[in-house]
Amino acid sequence: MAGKLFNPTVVLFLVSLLNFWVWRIFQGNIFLGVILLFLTFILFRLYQDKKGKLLIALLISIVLVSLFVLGEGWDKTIFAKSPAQVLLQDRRHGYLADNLGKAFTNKASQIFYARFSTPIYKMQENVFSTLDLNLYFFASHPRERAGIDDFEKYSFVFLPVFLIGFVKLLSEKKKIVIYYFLLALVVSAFISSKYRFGPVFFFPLINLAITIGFLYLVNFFRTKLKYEI
Amino acid sequence: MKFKIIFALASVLLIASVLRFFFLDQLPPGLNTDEASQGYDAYSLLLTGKDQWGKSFPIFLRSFGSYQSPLYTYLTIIPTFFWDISIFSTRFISALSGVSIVFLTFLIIRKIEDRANIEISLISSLMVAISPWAIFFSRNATEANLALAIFLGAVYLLLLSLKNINFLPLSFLLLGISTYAYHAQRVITLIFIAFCFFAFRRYFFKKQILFVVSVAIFLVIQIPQFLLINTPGANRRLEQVNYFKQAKGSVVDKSIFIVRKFSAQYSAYLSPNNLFFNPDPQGVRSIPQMSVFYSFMIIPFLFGIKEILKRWIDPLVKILLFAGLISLVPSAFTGEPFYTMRVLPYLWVISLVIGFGGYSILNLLRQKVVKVLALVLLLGFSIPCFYINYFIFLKYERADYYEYPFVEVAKESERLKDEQFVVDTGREPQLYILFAFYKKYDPKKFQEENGLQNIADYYYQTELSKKHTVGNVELKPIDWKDASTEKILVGDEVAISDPQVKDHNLMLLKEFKDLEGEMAVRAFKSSF
Repeated sequence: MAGKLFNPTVVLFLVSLLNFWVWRIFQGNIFLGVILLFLTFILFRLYQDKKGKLLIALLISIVLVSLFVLGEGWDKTIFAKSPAQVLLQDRRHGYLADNLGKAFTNKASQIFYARFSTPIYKMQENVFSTLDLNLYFFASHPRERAGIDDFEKYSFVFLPVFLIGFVKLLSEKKKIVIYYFLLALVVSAFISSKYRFGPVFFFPLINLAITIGFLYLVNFFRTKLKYEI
Repeated sequence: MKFKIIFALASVLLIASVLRFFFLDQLPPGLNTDEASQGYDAYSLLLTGKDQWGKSFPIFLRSFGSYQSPLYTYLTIIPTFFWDISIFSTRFISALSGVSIVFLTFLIIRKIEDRANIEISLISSLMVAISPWAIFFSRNATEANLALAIFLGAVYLLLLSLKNINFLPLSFLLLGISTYAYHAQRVITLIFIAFCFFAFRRYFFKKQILFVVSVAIFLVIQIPQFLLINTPGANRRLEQVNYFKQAKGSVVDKSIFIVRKFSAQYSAYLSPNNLFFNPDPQGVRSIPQMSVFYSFMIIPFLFGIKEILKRWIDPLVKILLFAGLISLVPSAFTGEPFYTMRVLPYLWVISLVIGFGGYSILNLLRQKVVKVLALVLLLGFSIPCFYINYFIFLKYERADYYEYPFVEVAKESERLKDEQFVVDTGREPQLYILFAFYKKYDPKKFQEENGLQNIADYYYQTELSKKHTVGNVELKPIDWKDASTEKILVGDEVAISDPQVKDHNLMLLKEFKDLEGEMAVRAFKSSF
């Protein structure tokens, strides 16, 4: 029984369901929730070096999730500036012109500053907002974001397990995990941080990290304590 | 080969020095009140042997009632002696500490058991030299920066002592001294010593006498702090910033609250979003649009984690990681989110991880020319990026925190020496110190006019008076009785509103603007 309980697939299943995030997604969009669970399991199987048709299943799942997420969560503000942003940009334009002279007032710099600097900054903001531990484990506390309905996605007791799993993933350098992580980052650049379900592309990765961290700890205690768990 | 290493190190130190000393007296523009307090206390100690409140060589400096660690101020006496009281002399120790940190990084990382330790140490010290956090805190009068420099000196001597035990007493001497540089350092140092004792207990056990002597040196240095341990002077800062009082309910509820709060505060420092993008929420501790590291540094950071894991067996790597992680503990017990100044040792360790990652990335490049080009690109991107955000945007957008308009008010009060000024400080009673600083006011007179009545209670006086006098300037909440006397009233639009100007028949003398050209404070003459 204990052996079955610590079966990796069972652990992943429990981790994927024993979190607040998936139930919030189910409440809002049951199809999205199901696809994300499916994506989690595919990613895990691919991580375990299973290949073949699973890659196709992964790609199809990613496309389906993208359709849901980008349809509802596309960040319209990337290319549209708010009045406050326009004001700030104008003011900074003055500072840069005064201090940099021709290095700033030349045509290339002007075009870059006017058209690209703000979208690049916003996309960076979207990407980095997903790389925040507190977003997942503490509802962004202590740096809560104004105007955004932050919610706790995982209990904070999972945080140390997640960190162990993350370090293990990093040291293993599995290509599928790296490629998925990069893809999640690229897509998140275009998703608004106000999207009601949060950075769902990271859902499979975090479940994977927590599962691996948990299994590592179980194995560690089995070996160190020579205790039959 | 040795010449190449010296040349490379000299280049890194030159970059570090330029970034830290270039226009040090002009950027940031002006001084914040904490800096001014340190500078003025140093000036006062130099001329009178007493701090601004009249206490002879205090162990903790009262300042505004929060009782700062003293070492930075005492060391600032030296540059003040050479260059008089000035922005440059006030910030000099921090800038020098910043350059020392870069050099100590090289020395420490060289001790790693790795045939590439020279390259790794050079790249790591370069990362520290150009990292925004390291430059920013070196260009402010930051006690924590001094504490880090001394702590790293102690760590280096500790590493030397593992081969030659005679260095251990020196190491513990520096560890003891570092606790006088910054409050949080007291906790960090104690935990660090406990860790080292545990990690090297077999080695220290063989060299018992010197180990005991070293610990004795450390403890003797702590005696002055120990004697004040029950005073508000020693504990005020922790009382002001911890969140224990917010815990409500049963013991279990309170425990869960504290554990959860501690975990949230701690993990905020681990978040890549905060490290590489989202700056410290307090403008006085951050650069506009830039966090403690450049955004692109997340890439070498991830590579660096892997490199560190490869070298996990090396005791030096363990010591450094542990030092970095324990330095988050004091900060995690406070309620302020992502308070960067409290965690400089941690940020230093992150810089090392980035350095390791940088080395790993450079290793992927085969040709030397390509490696050099990569380094040139790194500098070619980082330094202009820093220049724009710090030397341009900060000058205008953070000028508020450096009270730039009050510099001009202080100069005006010097110009009109025969006039009586009343400056509103109802919301910011600490502003008096800017006037004392910029007017180079005689510390003896300041002590007579503003010093504590009962100096024996020095370490218990946590409340700051709302009224101060600096020569011809009274700093206090404006009392409208002053409008019926011949005085110049100075305040912002909240302190002296347009209806009040009309009601009290005030005549506008001068507007003092901030660096953005916006009106900040106004001076009015009463028409009496």
